[in-house]
Amino acid sequence: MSLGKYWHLFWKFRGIQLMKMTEYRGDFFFWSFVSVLWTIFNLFAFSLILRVSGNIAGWNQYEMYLLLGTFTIIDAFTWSFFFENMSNYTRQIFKGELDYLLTKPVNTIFLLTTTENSYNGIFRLIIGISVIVYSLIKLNISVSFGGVFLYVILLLSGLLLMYSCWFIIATLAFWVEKLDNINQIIPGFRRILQVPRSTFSGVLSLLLTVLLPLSLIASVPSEVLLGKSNVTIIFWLLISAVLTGLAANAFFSFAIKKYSSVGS
Amino acid sequence: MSSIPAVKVDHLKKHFKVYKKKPGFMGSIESLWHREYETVKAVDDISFDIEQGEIVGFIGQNGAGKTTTLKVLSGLLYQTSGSVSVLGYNPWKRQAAFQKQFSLVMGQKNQLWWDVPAMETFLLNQTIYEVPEKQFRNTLDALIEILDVKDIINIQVRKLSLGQRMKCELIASLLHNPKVLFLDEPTIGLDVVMQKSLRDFIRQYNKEFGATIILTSHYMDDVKELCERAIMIDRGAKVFDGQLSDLIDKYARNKILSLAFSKPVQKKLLEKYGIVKNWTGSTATMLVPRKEATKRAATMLTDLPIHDLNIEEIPLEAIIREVFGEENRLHL
Amino acid sequence: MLDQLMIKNTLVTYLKLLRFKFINILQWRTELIIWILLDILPFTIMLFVWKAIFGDNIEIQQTSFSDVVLFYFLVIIIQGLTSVHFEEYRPTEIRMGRIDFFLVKPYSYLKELVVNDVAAKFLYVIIFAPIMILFHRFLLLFTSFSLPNLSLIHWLVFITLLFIAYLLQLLLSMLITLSAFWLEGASGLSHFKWLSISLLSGTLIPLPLMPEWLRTLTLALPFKVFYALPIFVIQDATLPTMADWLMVSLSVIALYMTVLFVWKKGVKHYASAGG
Repeated sequence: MSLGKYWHLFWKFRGIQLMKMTEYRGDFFFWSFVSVLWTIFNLFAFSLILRVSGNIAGWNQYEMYLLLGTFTIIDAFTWSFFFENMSNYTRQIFKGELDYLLTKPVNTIFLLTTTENSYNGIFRLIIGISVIVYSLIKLNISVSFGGVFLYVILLLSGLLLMYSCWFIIATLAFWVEKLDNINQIIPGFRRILQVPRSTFSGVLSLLLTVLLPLSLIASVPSEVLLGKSNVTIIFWLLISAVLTGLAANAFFSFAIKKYSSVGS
Repeated sequence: MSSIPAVKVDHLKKHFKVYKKKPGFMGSIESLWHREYETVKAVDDISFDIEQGEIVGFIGQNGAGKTTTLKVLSGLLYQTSGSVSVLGYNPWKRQAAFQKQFSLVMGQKNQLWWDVPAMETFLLNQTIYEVPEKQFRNTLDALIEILDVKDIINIQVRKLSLGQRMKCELIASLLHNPKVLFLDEPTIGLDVVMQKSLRDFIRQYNKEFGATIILTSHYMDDVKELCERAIMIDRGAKVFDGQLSDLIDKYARNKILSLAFSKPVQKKLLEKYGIVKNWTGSTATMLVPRKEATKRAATMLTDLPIHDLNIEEIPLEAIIREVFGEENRLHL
Repeated sequence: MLDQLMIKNTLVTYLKLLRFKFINILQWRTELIIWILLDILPFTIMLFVWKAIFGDNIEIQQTSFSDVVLFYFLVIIIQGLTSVHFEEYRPTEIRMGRIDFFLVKPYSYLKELVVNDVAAKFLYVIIFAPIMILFHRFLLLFTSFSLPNLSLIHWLVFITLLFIAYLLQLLLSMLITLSAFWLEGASGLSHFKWLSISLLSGTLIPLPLMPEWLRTLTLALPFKVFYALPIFVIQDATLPTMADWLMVSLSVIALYMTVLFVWKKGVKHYASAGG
């Protein structure tokens, strides 16, 4: 199947989800409202800390807001894409309903990754971008086109990294009978993304930078906009994102083989 | 058409492990660190070929291995040993070229999108299976026509009845004109009228498109009306493969005689003609050997005060039940 | 004599129920462990944040780093012991009409909600306690923290406050669950519960570090019983005032009456709507 077909399919899914959203408009507004409240709450919680300290790990107030803006964008994807698809994925595993998906002449991971989405995160996304723009104005920083481009690339890498970890954990569902909060594990790590990577020291820093580079996901793109980037770290984020992606892919093939030899 | 069978199954085995849960409080505690498993032989050495264009029925009780076999044929399960081939492909490889030529329909699972009209799923499947626009429209129109669902394809699926949904499921599965079709309990939960209309459709689809169809069902009527050939599976093994009428000949050694008398007849008097199943004095049902059924009925008509008599085949359900229920086998 | 027998019988019945519930809840043990770890994680990150903030400073606004660590440690413990989550899944039961079972049995749905949660809490504490002891060891790597001189009274008051906090959480969760008689997405209301508790009960940041307006607001509202009051008892050896007790008791009574009222209305609504 050609790339164009996949592109077409991707938008077809968005269309169907849009129909679903208009079908349940009340839900859409309610959950959008809830997500906006939590976003504001989170910014407020950090503003309380910044009021006391003035900076966190060397990042001043508006640099912190820019980081939180980046986090908010990631959070929008977390709930609107990753959570929706992974919930659907694990539900199908637990109920033994992956069958139809596996008989389709389309890459299964593609279907598992792109079928679902919600539109509740749109306002969160807008808040995130606005906070970033506002912080840049307050910091009096003008960003070049290349800077924005690099920011987007790194943000996407961060998302890929996070999603791949999530996908690996969700795939573990093949081995457990049921695990209701399996899709809360990765979101549970979100607090790591909300603070600068320089917050962590010692072993933890090593762990969250090299082994499981979660501390890079929001920090590294933000550093690019703030003009404090480090080339080695940028490359490491790109490489580790690709590596985790490949690992997720390999693990899925392994899991499907297991599912097929064990299932009834 | 070529002489290669559409489906070829050779010494297929599929075993798997299941976890045994112990009952009670201590059982729950114990299962925290210690779990016992046992091997279930879902399919145990089955072989058969199916020619192109055939409709074959899989019969057997729940858990006999019917669905497992279909899943292996669909490439969903990997066999423990033996080999399968569908249209010359190894299903397990799940090649797109193969997947575009078959379809699996499961009565208990749905692929339709719940909250949007069925038409959206149809269009999605058009993209997934890369069906050219013209072919898509032609097939869709034909299927809508045969199944008479013109009015419902633009209504949200969740608002449809079970039967309407099943019709739409079938359309969604057939839009790419599959050469091989696996139907797992397609009529489950449907009312009699809907069952019949689906049956008519399956027969018509088989005629018009020449598709090879394997069907599992526990409604015997499905199998009786659609399939010339039936494969019976019991506890993972094939126990019968052939024409349905042969199945009846092989296992049904008796026929049922229903009698009504003009005046009461004693049970003892009846027992020399056959096995008395039911007796009230003025009516009786009896089992008599198939081959002698007519002769014995004639004798009884002359010997006894009979005012009504009926000779029937034993229903297929009963045959199956008795084949599988060992202790009753002698009574057939 | 008769009364004693009745009390004994009731107790035995509830113990049997609890045992049965406990067996059922055992199957969620892995989930519970994951929840506990996921609850600890954000607070651990906050410790690093505060460590970075304090740097070489010994005190910020008369608060030391070890005060902050003790504050977060207490927050985790109180959260573990008192938070209630059943409103996140119970409402579907009402929406799907599955409470019919309870309406025909001499075992009311409200009791079921409490018994089930108490059994779950019991299992939770069994898993929670050793993890907390380990976590305490881990915290000692950062800083040593010592408690003020506490008498038995302080501990008794602390436990009483936690008990009331748990009771209030149960009542709030019940209220949200029961709103499912009228509302389709009742479980979504749990977000408002968590938002208001997080914002108004003094969990975000130690009270002395709060801006004046937020501190005043926190102390003026009954939400403080969830975190601020018990933390005061342990961290500052400060007991609640009479006014605090009065406010808290009134909230419990008011909420309890509301739950009963809503339950009665709900069942009536349910019956007349015909499920």
